[in-house]
Amino acid sequence: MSLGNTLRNRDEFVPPKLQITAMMDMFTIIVFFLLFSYAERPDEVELTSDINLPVSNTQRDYDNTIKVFLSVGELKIDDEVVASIVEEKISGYDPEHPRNNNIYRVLEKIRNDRLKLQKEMVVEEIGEELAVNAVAKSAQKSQVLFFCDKSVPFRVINTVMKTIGMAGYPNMQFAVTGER
Amino acid sequence: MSALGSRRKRTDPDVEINMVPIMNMFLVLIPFLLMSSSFLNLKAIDASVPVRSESSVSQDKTKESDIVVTAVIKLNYKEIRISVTSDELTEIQLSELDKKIEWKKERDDKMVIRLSSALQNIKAKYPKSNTIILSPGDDVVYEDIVNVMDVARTLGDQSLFPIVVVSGEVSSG
Repeated sequence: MSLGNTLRNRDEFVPPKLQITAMMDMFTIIVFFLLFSYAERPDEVELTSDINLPVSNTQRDYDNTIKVFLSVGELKIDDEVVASIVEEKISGYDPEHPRNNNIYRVLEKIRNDRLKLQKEMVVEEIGEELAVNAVAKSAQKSQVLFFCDKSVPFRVINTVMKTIGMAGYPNMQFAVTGER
Repeated sequence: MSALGSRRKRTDPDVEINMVPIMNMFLVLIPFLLMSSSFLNLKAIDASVPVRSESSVSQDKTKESDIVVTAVIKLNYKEIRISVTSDELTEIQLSELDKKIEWKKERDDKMVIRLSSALQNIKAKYPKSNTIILSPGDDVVYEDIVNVMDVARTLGDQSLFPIVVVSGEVSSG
């Protein structure tokens, strides 16, 4: 092709148009999907990498309650590390005196603080006499959300569960990964 | 020139909406949402530990279908023992429902089917029963406990024993 032809063709060159519509559709779908999945969660639970939850077919949603995290190496209540686990034994746990260990003490403190706060709120609303019954009823309903690594043996789980029950939380929820 | 004519002249058919700022916004929004989004589908299983309570023994004779029993599953890596407790049944009636299933650490479908059918059998006989006591051995890991709970709770859409009590040693006699 001669130089003259090339120069003539350059004048006829039409800049290509980017097809933005398809991209916009895709982005809109992604944004809506992410926004809905964000709104669905009742609250954020930060799960550390040392806890690998088992998969279950349950469809029950978890409640925002006291969270107990049991991994192979340590036990945490909410954000506080209460005990370390060495060779499948909870350090500092005396089976003869289960009420003297840290797990029980921390749970009892949380329970008392919550009940105190709750009572103050209820007394303001319905008065001192009715408040006692109302608080006692809600205390019976209170439970613990229990996160446990799938490889933890029952001898550790049992000790923790017994202590949680003893601290006034016989009802608990086992956190699991739901099937998709 | 008429007013209508001049208006028509100003109309440009090739006007396009500028999508670039919207695209920019989306590009910022998507990584932000992806980072803050958790893809963990967190669910919960309701369970409880046994608590001491006063037992109320009914003296009235009730129909078999109205009898409420509690199934007990003792789980270890050799076998699963299924038994039943009830104040309204005799020792012989209770022992008829006892079952032993071989259970290995490597879970296979046959074991699950056997467990499920044994529980179905109890449920069919005593349909008002809905509580199970699960008593795992010390070395049984949490994943296997959850698996057995899943089998005990539901069978397809049918609810078997939705209330699960997890306990250490349990005597079913």
